[in-house]
Formats: sequence, C-alpha cells, structure tokens
Amino acid sequence: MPSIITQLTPEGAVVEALVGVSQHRSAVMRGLQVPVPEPVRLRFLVDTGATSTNISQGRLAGLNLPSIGVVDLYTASSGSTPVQCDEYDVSLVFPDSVPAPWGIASINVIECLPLDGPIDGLLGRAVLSCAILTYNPFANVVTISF
Amino acid sequence: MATTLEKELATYNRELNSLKSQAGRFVLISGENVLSTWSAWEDALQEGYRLCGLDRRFMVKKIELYPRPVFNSRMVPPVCHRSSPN
Repeated sequence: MPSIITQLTPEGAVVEALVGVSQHRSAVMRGLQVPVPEPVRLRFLVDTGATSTNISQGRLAGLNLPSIGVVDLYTASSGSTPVQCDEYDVSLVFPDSVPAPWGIASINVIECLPLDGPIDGLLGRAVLSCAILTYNPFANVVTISF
Repeated sequence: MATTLEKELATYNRELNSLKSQAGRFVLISGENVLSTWSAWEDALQEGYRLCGLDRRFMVKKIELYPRPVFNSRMVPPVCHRSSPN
C-alpha cells in the first residue's frame, strides 16, 4: 500500500503535496482547450483535529479556481461563532509516497485564514480517513499508509 | 473571508425546507436555481461542471438540517467575516 513516511519535526508531522485542478474541472478545461494550471507544491501539517483539509488563503491563487462551496468553520480562535469559508475542488498528489506517488483526483478543501508557522495547510480527516496513521515514538517517525 | 457564493447560499437557505427529505445528499445550485441532488459529492461536482462549464458559478452543498460542525484546530487571526449566529 502506498505510504508517506515522514520524520516528526518541531511543527509536527509535515507532508508535501501537489495541489492541482480537480479531475472534473481539468476535463472541462481540456475539452475547451483552456490551459490547465500546473499544480502547486504545498506543505501540510497532519492534523487529526481538523475535519477537512484546510489551505491558507492565497496559496491556491495560481490555480485560478472558483469557489464551489461554503462551510462554517470552527477554529481555535473562533469561539462559538464559526468563520464562513469557501471550499474549492482540487486534486492532491503526494509525490513522496512510496513505492509510487499516490493521489486523490477530486476532493474539497477549505480555504482558511493564514496558518501560523511554515505550513501552507492542514491535512485533515477527510484525507486521513482513507489511511492508516502510525506514530513510531522510538524513531520519531509518522507513517501514513493509503 | 466573504464568499462569492452568496446567491447560491441564499438559495440553499431558502430551499432547505423543501430539501429536508433529501438530507444527507448533495445539492447542486447555480444562482437561484436548485439543479439536482446527488448521493455523492463528486457526482454533484461532475454534474456542476457539465451543466455550468467554466463560466457559470455553482455550489455543491450537503443537505443538512443540523449542520455538523467543521473544525480546524489551529489558531487563526481574528476573522473579518463571521456567519450569522442563527
């Protein structure tokens, strides 16, 4: 099974992913002979406390995506009043997965306000629910197996 | 973080009562029109692109009478846009 093996860093378990236009959108673009933007490489913190995958505002600008949904998002600082955030449909590919890159053709992600630290987004349970997550404290390694 | 889907969201809120028998499915909305409902998000998305292409805006939303909370456990700065409490 494809796996991402990452060393635990001071920020936590961080993985890189190529975020691109979703399969359904890119099919329409190709049909209309509209150039499909290149995926962007982003750093995600593995976060079992996040319901969905979140991406900091502005990181998807190069993909020129329209919003396809709206969610009320509760954050650590939102209190009982949620933040209204846009959703986008994207593709996710984990290039460092072994033995081969592994990805999701279409998934919805939430655009949130910029996150603290050197991360572009949170890899939440919408993706992790397809995986087995293992933490080896002796080697300080996190493995995500899809 | 003001959304560009205000019209679609208003349509959803207006039509929620008539959609409640389909709770759990995903509704496809463009402007003031409810186009269809689907059992899978990805099917609704595909139909949205088929009907609306790249030019017309559309929204895919799970029909929920009591929306499940969506969490992001990280700290974020104070927000510039909040949804209505009711």
